[in-house]
Amino acid sequence: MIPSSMIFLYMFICSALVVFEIFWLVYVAAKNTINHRNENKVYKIMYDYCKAVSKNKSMHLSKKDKTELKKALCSSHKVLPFAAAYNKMSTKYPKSTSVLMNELADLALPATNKMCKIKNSITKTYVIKLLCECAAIDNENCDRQIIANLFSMLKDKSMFCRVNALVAISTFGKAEDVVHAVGLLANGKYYVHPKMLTEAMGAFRGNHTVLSLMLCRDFDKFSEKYRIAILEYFTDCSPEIGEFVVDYLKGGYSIDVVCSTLRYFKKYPFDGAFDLIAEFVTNEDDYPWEIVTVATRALSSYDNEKVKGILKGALKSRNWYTRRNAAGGLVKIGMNIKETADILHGDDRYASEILKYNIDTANAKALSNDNSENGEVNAFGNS
Amino acid sequence: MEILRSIILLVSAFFALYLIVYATFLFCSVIVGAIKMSQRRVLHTYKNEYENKSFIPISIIVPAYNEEVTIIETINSLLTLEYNYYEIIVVDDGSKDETSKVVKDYFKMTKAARPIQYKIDCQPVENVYECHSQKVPLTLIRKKNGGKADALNMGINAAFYGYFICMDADSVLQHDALQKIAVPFLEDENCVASGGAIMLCNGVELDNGRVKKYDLPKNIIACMQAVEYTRSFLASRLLFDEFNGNLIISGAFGMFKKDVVIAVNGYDHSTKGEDMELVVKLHEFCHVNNRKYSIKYAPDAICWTQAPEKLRDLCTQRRRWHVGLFQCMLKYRNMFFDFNRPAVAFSYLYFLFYELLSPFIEILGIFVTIAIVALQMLNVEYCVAFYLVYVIFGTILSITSYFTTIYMQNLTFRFKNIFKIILLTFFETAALHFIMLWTRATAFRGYKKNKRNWGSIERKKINSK
Repeated sequence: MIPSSMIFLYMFICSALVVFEIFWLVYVAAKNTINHRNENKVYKIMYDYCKAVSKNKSMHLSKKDKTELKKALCSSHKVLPFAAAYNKMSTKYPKSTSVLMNELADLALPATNKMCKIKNSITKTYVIKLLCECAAIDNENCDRQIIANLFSMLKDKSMFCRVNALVAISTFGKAEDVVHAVGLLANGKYYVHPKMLTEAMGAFRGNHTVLSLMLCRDFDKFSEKYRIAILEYFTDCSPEIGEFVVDYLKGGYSIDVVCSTLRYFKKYPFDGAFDLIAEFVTNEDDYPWEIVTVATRALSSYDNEKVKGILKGALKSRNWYTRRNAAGGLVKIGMNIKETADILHGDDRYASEILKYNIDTANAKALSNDNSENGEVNAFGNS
Repeated sequence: MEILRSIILLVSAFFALYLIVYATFLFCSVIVGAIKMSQRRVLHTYKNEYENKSFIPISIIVPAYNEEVTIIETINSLLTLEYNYYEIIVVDDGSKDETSKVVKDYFKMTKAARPIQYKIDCQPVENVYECHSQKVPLTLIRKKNGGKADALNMGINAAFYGYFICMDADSVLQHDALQKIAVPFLEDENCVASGGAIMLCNGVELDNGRVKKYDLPKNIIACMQAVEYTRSFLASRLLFDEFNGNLIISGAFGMFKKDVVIAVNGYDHSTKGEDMELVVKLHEFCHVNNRKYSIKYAPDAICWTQAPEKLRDLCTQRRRWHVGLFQCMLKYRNMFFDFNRPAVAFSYLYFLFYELLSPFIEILGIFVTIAIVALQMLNVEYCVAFYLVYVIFGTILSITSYFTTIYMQNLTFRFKNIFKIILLTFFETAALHFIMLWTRATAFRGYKKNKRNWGSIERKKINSK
């Protein structure tokens, strides 16, 4: 009795699963058909417009077409087909598609306001980010209500929403809004990868130096991960703030923050930072190996007569990575074979091997460039 | 006689319970899978999901042994990936064929005196070759034979970047696979590994990592596996992923954080299932060291791989997998009923009862059925109804997984494939299932402990441009 009732239970679960799956397949198929139909409608409008624009014809959307696109952008269940059509079109006619989006500028505000009210946060941020990126909404016609909505989206569970909201805020070009947004993210409970933060801040359409200085002002308020992202942003977009960034090398900051600062000074050499960087390399026992290693790499960007000597010394470091970076640095600054003969033929086998490897690699790279560009002098002046 | 009847009733109750638990698990898994896949599809359409082509630098490690037929195609496909910041390291594990020569000559590689720091123990390097004229750095390392795990460890030692991908030399990654597999690392700072989805390329036409034509393979053995692969991904991995309970990342395509893998001393040479062993080891390491971690599954990061088309090859492969599973379960038996970490303990129990012991339980079931017939306790109508439910259930599950693939990948639907799947399920339940059952149950015959070898199947050129 017990097994048979259990078997019936099993058959019941299986049947329920079969029913669910059939229901699911039908639902997906129906949804797909409707989406396809809507996508084709939008695609046709976009295609006619973009094709004409790509042939340099002056073109304006008819009122009917504009209404159709407005419907697609303002209704949560039509955004998906719109996105699919937009993706196809932007691959086929990238320039014309952006012209089309500019044509939709007057739809931007109503669409954004409408989207802010819907529950589906993924769809919501997609539309807003799309419109912001296409410059359909900008600083001039931006409604504070939209910004307020974007701030609230920074607390969303989905990272897609948080990042898109930050990108949208950045595109408005108001530095204080971006700083406030980064602060909100930093105080929120969800994680945002530093690289994504950096990228989102990079979308800023205002003056990068102004934003960077504001971020410097609030630097100590942020957690370590945010500090790193901010420093990466400086490295990407702000070459002129060396005198402010140099403070982060002076102590009190974590290894990762110091390393990110060193990467900044590798990209934008700043004379005021040279002595500090050299100190990390020459007194390696006093500092964590990660800092010494990154400092060794940064040194090769400086046009200073001391660099060669310091890097040659670092080639004998106990740390594998420091030696590797020192060898790479020596090749980068173009030391000639005579100057490195003592190392290449010296007793320190590892120093000699890593240097030789770096020379060979640089030569191979130069050779492959030679083949493609026909005639560049390779590392160490060899041909 | 009464005692015998009682015993049989008790055993039947066990089987019924076994099936109920499995069906319930599957029910939850399919619902979670359907919702998850649907969400993924939406995010995929909103293309600006994450423009992460250079956020995480990745080293791709391709261990190779006697792969001269497919290796060039594999490397060429890796060179067309839509990602900006990666390197390719091919490790030739002392192949007896011309694998190294073919790669060296084709890419015009030059010998390099590259010093390699042996952070993980492995067989020594014989030669290193490099190529700098491609889109990304390409390195070929020729080393003494030591098995797949050893080759992967060498690749980890030589890798420049903090994250690495391990893959098979007979596989092709889909054009956006790196972007997709990196997403879990972007979303979760504690992520230590993520696994991609494995799909079979038999019958599929690929062009620069994009599917040009998708069809089920003509070969019945390969076809069965194609359906089985998608079914298993839909039926378990997505659910395990929900509670950080994935114990397997396929060796054909997985991404790992290098420092954690080095901390656990890399891949284990002595097991036949080095891919599962590493993942379980990562669970164990993070738990013991009280470290927050997650091991994720990225269902839209696709790797196309070849399935064996001969029954003999398939049996060899499955035997190897089963022995690997056994070694792993035995080594980490402390996870059994360890409810300090319920997710992992639950997954462990699933793998124990529904993977490792399932052939033995099913064979026992066959004997019990024979005993029931002998004792004239069998209700024929009931038995036929039960079998029909089982077959319909299997067919619907297979059709759903096929549709999911079509839906997720935006592929062309072919009606003939539905009929193929229905026929295949009948064939599978009537014949092939029993062959596989026997293969797995007898997997330990002739098994040699610590034997380092590569699972080899007959290779064909992948249908890729």
